Amino acid sequence: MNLQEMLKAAVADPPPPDIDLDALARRERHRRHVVRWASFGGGTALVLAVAVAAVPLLGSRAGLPTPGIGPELVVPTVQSTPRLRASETPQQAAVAAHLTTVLQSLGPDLGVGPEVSFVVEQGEWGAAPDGHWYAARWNFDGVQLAVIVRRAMIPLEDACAKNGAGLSCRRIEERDGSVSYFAEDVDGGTRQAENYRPDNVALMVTATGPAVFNEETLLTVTRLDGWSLTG
Amino acid sequence: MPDDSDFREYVTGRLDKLRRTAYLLCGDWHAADDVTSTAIMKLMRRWPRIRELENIDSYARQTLLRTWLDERRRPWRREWATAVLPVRAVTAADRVVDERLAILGHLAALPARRRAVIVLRFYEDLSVEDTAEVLGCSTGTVKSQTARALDTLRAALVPAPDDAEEATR
Repeated sequence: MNLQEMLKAAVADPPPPDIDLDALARRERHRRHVVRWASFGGGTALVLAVAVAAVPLLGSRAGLPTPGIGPELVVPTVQSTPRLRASETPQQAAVAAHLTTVLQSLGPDLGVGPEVSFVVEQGEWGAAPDGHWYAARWNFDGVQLAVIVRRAMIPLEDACAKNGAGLSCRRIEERDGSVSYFAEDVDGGTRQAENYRPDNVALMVTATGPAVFNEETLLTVTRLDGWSLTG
Repeated sequence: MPDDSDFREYVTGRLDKLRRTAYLLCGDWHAADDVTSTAIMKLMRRWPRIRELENIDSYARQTLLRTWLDERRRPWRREWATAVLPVRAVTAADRVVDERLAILGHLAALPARRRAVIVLRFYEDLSVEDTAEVLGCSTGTVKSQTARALDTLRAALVPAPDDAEEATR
């Protein structure tokens, strides 16, 4: 008996499986339900916080005195006005504007021109529990760049497993409690850095094309302090 | 999960194979079912993207393998390499059963990656290239790991002389 036959013989008589697909599907539905409600709760809290902050601001615009409220509550202005879509809420537009400001600060290092801005995108995407995320895309020296900011929890499992064959990937536990990943296509065509933060904000920077930007550069962008989803 | 009928169909068709592979890796049917369940959950979460892949089987195999490797890294799942089972003279009637037990013992004694290489190359019948893809390493690493694993197995197994050459094929 050769090795192949031995291995096949070793698994020749399996006991009945202790795997219930219905139970697994229920668990997955439950998990999604919990994530959805958690994000809904977080979103509601965010809206309330914005509303509370906006009331005095509106009051001051109406000529009412608002002692103690400074200009820091004003929605940040940006060099280029983000593209507004009909589906965007004012809060989403404010977040996009804020993210654009952060992106513009990178300037020439990453070839970010004044026309580059964040837009709100929506759809079904894995771990984006609130259904929308913010994306900015541009080209620089033949490299297609994309920065995506979304709400996502730090993966407990090694999310490198999510990558298919042909990608090298490593997980980095950062000192600030965040977790970074860097994945690279073995062909060298695509490099991607991600940073998952304890406040459930996740950054993803992808560079496709010539290897103009190295791992450290892309990771540095994901680690910038300014990224946030609070506008 | 709006419509999981195609996922169910896929998993139902591959469940038996995934379990058997997991068993060879884990050496225990209960652990194999745990690992397979976890891998299925991961596949379920990513199914909308996975269903578009050309080679779903390869992805599923990779997910199973990485799930097993991840499980082994958890402190409460760390396993100790078992001592190689003693080989004794057996009657022809006992031989298949004993070989079955023996090969599991010898597999369990191998380091995880070497065990995975043996299972993928000789049970899943994958090429060196495909094995490297699943394990995320180079073909050279697969070849060297295979050679070392076979050396260990060759030393542990006491096959009939004519089987020795076949086992190293």
